[in-house]
Amino acid sequence: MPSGVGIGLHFAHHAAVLADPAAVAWVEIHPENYIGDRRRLRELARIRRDIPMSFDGVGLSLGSAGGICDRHLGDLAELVDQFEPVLISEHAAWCRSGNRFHADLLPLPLTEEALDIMCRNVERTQERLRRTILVENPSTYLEFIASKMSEPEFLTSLARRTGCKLLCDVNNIVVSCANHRLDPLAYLQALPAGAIAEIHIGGHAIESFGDGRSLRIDDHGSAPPDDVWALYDAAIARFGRLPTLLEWDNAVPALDVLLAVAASATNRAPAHVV
Amino acid sequence: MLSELQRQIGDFVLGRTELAPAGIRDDGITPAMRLAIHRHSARTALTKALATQFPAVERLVGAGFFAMAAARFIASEPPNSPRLLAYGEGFADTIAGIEEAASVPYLADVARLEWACGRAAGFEYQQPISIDALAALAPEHAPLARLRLHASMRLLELDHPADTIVNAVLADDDDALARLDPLACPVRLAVYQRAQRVIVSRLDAAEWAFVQGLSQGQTLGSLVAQAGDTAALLLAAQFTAGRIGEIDADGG
Repeated sequence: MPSGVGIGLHFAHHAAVLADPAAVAWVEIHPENYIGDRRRLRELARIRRDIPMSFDGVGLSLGSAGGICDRHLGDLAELVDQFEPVLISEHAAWCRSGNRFHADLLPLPLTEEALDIMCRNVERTQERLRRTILVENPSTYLEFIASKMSEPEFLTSLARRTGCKLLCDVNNIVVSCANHRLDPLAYLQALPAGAIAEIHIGGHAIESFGDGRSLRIDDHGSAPPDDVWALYDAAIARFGRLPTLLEWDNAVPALDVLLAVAASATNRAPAHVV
Repeated sequence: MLSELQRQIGDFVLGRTELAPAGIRDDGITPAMRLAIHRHSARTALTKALATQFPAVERLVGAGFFAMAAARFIASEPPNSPRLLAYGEGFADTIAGIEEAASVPYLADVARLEWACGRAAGFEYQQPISIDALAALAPEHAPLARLRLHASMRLLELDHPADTIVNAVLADDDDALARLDPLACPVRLAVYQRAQRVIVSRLDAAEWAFVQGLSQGQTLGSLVAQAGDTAALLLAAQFTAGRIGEIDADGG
């Protein structure tokens, strides 16, 4: 298990990270950004020698009714064998339908059918990778009328049925709960504490529609705002100081800024709110 | 059925329809407005991937026009894998079909060259062989031997001098851009990887015919007979330039 607060790794920071690996507790990559890119994989191998690394997949499409793409799962398995990531996570979402990849994490109706499909795909992934994976709660912008359970109930059943662990993204909880008028603390309390193995923090944007209505957008384009920090304090009170990762994928600042924000997470105090 | 719902949502996200599927809660922010967030996110990611593959095209037309061209391509030919390094095949043809791009007639050729360069760059490294390998063949076997081009090799015959245009655009060399006549001449290009760099070489008619013969698997004897007096020079030039990947001595 990595300790401390890690950062999402960006191509632009490869050289700086290699120059001073001791400054970085651990890094997370999206494997899809590296598959097939020989030059960057060589750089990544050098980084991995000095720094613990996790994989956060965005292309496996665990929620696809059509199942998982064999080729992509094979590519991922190769990288897992090569890099031996300390944690492997994916999302409770989908991004592939038929032979088309949609380049975004799309929402699932919270139904028994979707749960069965997620379970099948998670089991297949864990068998192929020979690893327990973590499944992350996504940011969502819409709700399906057909949904029959809450997202924490969906994730709890998934973890119970497949043995997978869960990645609690507190930024995504803040985003989704604001968009659906839910209580983020109640969401956090409803997650199964024993299954949570990692926490994500990050920032988001707010899109206003000009009539007082707005949606929060998970753009990872800024430091975590106050409400994300507050929920993080509650999360470490409930789950303990689990490996925590700062996501910042757009308008990415200099490495020292990322590390300073990550360090501020290290200094947060658990807040028992319930 | 989840599969049908995912097909409908996917079509909306990729810009193939403006019709949001039924079954999404509408509380004043409509399902289409909510799904548009995913469409924007997907288009941003895919447009960025295309701009990485086609930097000279983007600079020539500007970000706004490029985004429009990308949106058309994304809707008609969405990626089939999250491996976006390999996304963009066919983008040149989409550009060629955009009426508003007619004033930049060389744009599609620039895209064809950039696509070829990207594919050559992504190839697993292969050391080219030297002419010594040819000398080592028994004389009676040489005429039946076949030389295989370097595995990364792409041969392009373009109506416009895309190589000069790409170089000038990416170097921000306004003088070179002002000097060149983009309509001047068709070019024949060999695009391949050497020492982990992408090489773009112009070939004249004789060398083009020779390299085409190699790519079609003609035997050395047949190639030499066709090239006549220039055969030895053409052959040596291919080895010197690092364009030969392997030699098949059995001619199989």
